[in-house]
Formats: sequence, C-alpha cells, structure tokens
Amino acid sequence: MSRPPSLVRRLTLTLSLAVGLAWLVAAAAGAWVIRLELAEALDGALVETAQRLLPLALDTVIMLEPAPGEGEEGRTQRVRRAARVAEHAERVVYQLRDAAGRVLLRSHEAPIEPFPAPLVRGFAEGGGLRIYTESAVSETLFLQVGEPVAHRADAALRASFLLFAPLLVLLPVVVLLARRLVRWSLRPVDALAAAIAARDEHRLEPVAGPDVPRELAPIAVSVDRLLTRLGSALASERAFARAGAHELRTPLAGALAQAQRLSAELGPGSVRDRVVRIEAALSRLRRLVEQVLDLARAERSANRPDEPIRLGPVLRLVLDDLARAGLPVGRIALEGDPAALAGRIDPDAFALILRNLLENALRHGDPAAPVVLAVETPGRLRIRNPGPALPPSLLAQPPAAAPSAAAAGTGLGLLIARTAAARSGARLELVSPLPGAAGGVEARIELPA
Amino acid sequence: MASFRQAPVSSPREDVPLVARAIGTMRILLIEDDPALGEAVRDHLAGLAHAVDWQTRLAEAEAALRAVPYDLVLLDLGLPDGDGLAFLKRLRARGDATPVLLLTARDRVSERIAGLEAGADDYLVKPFDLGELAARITAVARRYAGDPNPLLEIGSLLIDRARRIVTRAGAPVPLSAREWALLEALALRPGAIVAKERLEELLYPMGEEVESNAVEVAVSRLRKKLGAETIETVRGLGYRLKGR
Repeated sequence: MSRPPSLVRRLTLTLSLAVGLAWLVAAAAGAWVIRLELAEALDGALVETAQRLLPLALDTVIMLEPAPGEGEEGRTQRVRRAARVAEHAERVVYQLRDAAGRVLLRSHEAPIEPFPAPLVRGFAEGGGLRIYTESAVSETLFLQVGEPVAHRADAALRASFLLFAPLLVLLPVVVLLARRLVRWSLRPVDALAAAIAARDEHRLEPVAGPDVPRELAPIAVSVDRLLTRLGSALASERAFARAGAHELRTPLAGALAQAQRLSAELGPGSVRDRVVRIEAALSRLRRLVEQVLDLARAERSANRPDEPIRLGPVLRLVLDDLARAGLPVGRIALEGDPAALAGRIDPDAFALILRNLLENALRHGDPAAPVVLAVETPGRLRIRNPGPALPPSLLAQPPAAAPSAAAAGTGLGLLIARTAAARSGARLELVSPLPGAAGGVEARIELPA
Repeated sequence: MASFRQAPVSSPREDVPLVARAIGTMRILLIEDDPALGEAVRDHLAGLAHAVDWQTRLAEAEAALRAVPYDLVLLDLGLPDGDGLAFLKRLRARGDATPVLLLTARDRVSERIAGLEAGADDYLVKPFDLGELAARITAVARRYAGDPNPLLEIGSLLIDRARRIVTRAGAPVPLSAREWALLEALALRPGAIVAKERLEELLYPMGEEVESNAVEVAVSRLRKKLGAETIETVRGLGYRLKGR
C-alpha cells in the first residue's frame, strides 16, 4: 500500500472494534443470563401447570372408571370424548399415566406413546420435550406436562437477538462517532503539524506553547530546537552573504590592488614575475569569490515582493554589466517588449538569472549567431542561442547540487541561475539541443506573477 | 604598466599613459576606509598623474569637498562614520555636480540601482582591477569633458572619438554636435541600453527645456546617416548600438 498509514483510521478502527467487542461480550453474557432466567421461569410455569392440572385430571379419571365390560380401550375413547375440546395449537402437552406407565389421559397434541420420561417426580428431557412429572394417589398415578425444548430455544434466541440486533444497526454509528472523536482528539496534532508546516526560513518562531498537549510536547520541543539551530545557520549564511560580501570583497580588492601596484613598481626580474603570478592568482580568486557570493545571494533571494516589479531597468543594468565585462552584448537580439518585463521577483534574483544565462549564451554559443532574448509576456521570456548543445549532466543538474571544480564556468553559472530561480519562485527550463536542431540552448523563464 | 595588459580584466584595454595624457591631470577625492585598497588606489592614480586626496571618513571628505573643487569623487559606500549613499544624496541635493564613481562591496542590483539613482555616475563593485578603475575614471571624465578615445569599430562603421570622425565603409559621415554626442554615448558600451533620459540630458544641458521628441528626431537622423539597423530602439528602455 503506497498510502502512508493513517492514525485517524487506525484509532477509529481499533476504537470501533473495542466497542463492538465489549458489546458482543456483554450481549453474550446477557443472552446466557436470559436463557437461565427463562428456563427457570418456564420450569416454574410447568410445575404450576402440572399441579393445577393434576386434580382436574384425577377427577376426570376417577369419574370415568371403566364401565363393566367396557375394557381399557373403550374407557379411553370415552374419556377422550368427554374431554373433547376444540383442537388447537398447544404450547404445553400432558399425559396422565398409571404406575405401569400406560397413558390414561392426554391432551390432544400429546403423543399416544408414553413420554420418554421416568415416572419420578421432577424434570426430565426426551422426545424434544421438557417434561415435568407430578405424582398423586400414593405414586400410582402420574401427570406429566411437557413443553417443546425447541420452543424454549426459540424464545431464548429471540431474546438474544434483541440484544445483538442493535449492535448491527449501531456499529456504523459507533464507527462514525469514533472517527469524529478521534479527529477531535487529534486536533492538537493537526495544529502542531500546521504550525510546523508554516515554518520556513522567514518564520522560525517556536511551535511549542501552552496549547500543545503533554504527549506532543517532546516533538514540539525537538522541532523548536531544530528551528533554533536552523535559525542560527540561516543567520550566519545571511550574514555571510551580506557582511561576508563586504568582508571578502574589500580585503580582496586591497590585496589585488596592492599586488598590481607592486608589479607596476618593480622592474623586470624574477621577483616581478612572481608578483605577476600572485596577481593572476588573486584575479582567479576574485572571479571565484564573485561566483560564490552570487550563489550565496541566489540562495538568499526568497522574499517575494507583494507587487510586481518592473524589470526593464534590471535588464538594462545587466546588459550594461555584460558590456563592461567585455562581452559582445551587441549580439543579443531583443524581441518582444523588454520594457514590459515585470514580475513578483526579487530584482537581484532576476538579475542573477538573466546575467548568468546571457553570459553562458554569449561565451559558449555560436559567435557568429545572435543570442535571442525574447520577451513573450511581461512574465515570460526565452534566451536562445545556436551553438553546441549542453552536456546532459548540466541539463539534468538539480539546483541543489554542489558545484564541482569541473563544473566551473557554464556549470556554476547555470547553478547560480537555477538556484536564484528556485529560491525566488521563478521557473527555469532548459532545452538543449534546440527542437529540430543538432545543437543550441534555449532557456525558458517564467516569473512569479 | 605592461602587467595591466596581462591581468584578466575584461573591460576594453586602454593604453594607460595615453589616457592620462588625453584626459589630463584630474583632482580626485578618494573616500575609502580600507588602508590597503585606499593606498593602492591612491598610488595608482597618482602614477597616472592625477592629484589624489585620500580621506577615510565622511566628515573629513565633506570638509575637503567644500574647500577644494574636485574633478571626480571615488566614494566607498560603507564608511565608519556613515553611509556613502546618504553622503552622495546630500551632495547632489546641494547642487554639487562633481562626477561620482562608487567603489563598493554592495553587489545587489537594488543597491546598485539605488546608487545610480542617488546621482552616481558609475558603479564599480569590489574587488576590481586597477586598470578597470582607470578606464572607468576615464569614461566618467570623458562624459563630462567630451575627451577623445581610441577608435571604435562597429560593423562597417569606424568611430574615431579622438578626431570626432565617423566613417561608413570608408566614406566620412558628417555629424552635427548633437548627433555626435548621441553616438558617443551609445558607443561607450556597444550593445548596452542607454536610457532615453540620459540621452536627453546630453542633448539639453541643465536647465534647458526638453522637447518631447528631440531624442527620436536625433536618432532618426543618425540612422539615416549610419544605416537604419545601427541603432535599435528598445521600447520603453532606451536605445542601443547594434552589431559587434
């Protein structure tokens, strides 16, 4: 299962199961008690019936002593005629038997055969009946009253069903209720999750507070500790990008200028050659520091302005910069309406994206062909140049990748542009080679509106 | 001096002694608190026959500016006793038009735009090459003095700023003073966009009424003389010289 486990679902399920199970146990116990009570009550009724019936049956039997020559069978027929009542469904049947076990008298649904019960006072079961035997006339006549066992079981079953049935109906209600309860109980978890989700590099205040339940407090405290650490890391990163820019640039400027002065003042010779080498190394360092600082600024450019910013002046500044850096910006062919360029983006981030992409295009593209900068809409532009295709490793490079020494140049420029785009909410898509061509690069930029 | 040619600076090379000769001796106020950088810049500019006063604090710089008429101010933005940008704004607010070149570690676009809007003539981000600095100083000075510069070739055009002559495919093209000023501004950095307002300033010295379409008219005349494709209008942003 690809979906992550749900706490709500699990708690709802276990809670519902627990409630259902408890109910089942309670209902089973209830059913058992009902069965016992029912048996007791029905047994009592059976005894009562037998005791009430006995005198009447005796009266009937005594009254109907066999007439001379009538024989046993004749007497029974006569008794039956005398006792005839309309036939009906009997819940209780009876037999009056003598000490030899013969049936003297029986209710009309009672079997002709004697009940399979001993002629002893008390309860017995047999032939699907619960039978109570009562004796009279010094143990010479017995009245046996029987009730179908099935009837009893049926009654118990009905009573039990009445206990279990609501469970079936109420179980979905229990599940729903449990779900609501669980959701309600987990509200602090949601609140904490939302509070954590709301944190980013601009919102680092603690998530722990008086509303966070005790069980969640360790999480909140850990998150807060992490946020604090993140805050100081971000602060030092920002301090590096801001103050570091000054702290790196100024001494480097001093060192470079001093080395240049020294090499200018020294006459030709081996010492001067060394100073020239120092100067060259400082110049390389300068380029590297600039790229590192650019990358740091790209990382930092995240504060999106509330209003769209006009970016035409930024484009002008970038072209001016590139021209000053000695790049042939005359090769850049402007299409569309560059003055309309606008977007909700940090102008610094936009400048980093634009400058690095244009610089790559001018440096690595076909020097005989123009670099097209097409402004399609105020928030969408493309930079396109024929020339060699980008190596797939650069095309697929994720923005988070660290610049390797080998990636310096195109790679670092691309990384800066990509980072600035990712951090400022712009979309940067690179297509290389150009559709229908063997080489070339197209960068598609979409600014946050 | 030969070492400057070896330094990997990408701005157009300039023959330093020639530049010094061309723009003459300038009186420069350098405001920079970093001793290593300040010293090297001062020595380098002095070596180019400029007279350099070096101050490390705004208060002293302010006093120097009031006492001496400078040709150029090199201004660091982050100084121990205040913000260079506020200093620049005060300077411009009291009508002081001395050219100002910012030398700063502030590399954000917004900071650079703010610097230029506050009235700086140019902006150089540290660390820079001393040759580059000299070139920028020359460019700024030239903007004010209209001083000459070596040849510039764009397509079939040859622009000789020293003699103020333009030839198109070898044939000389006669230009009026305004047309020349316009072309020179555009040729400073071919391919870069020059704002229309900047060109207006060139055509109309301070205080004169600007005719709304003066730049358009001058540009279209220039196009007729130099070829329509030479100057590109970047709608809403300005003009630029096309080609390489």
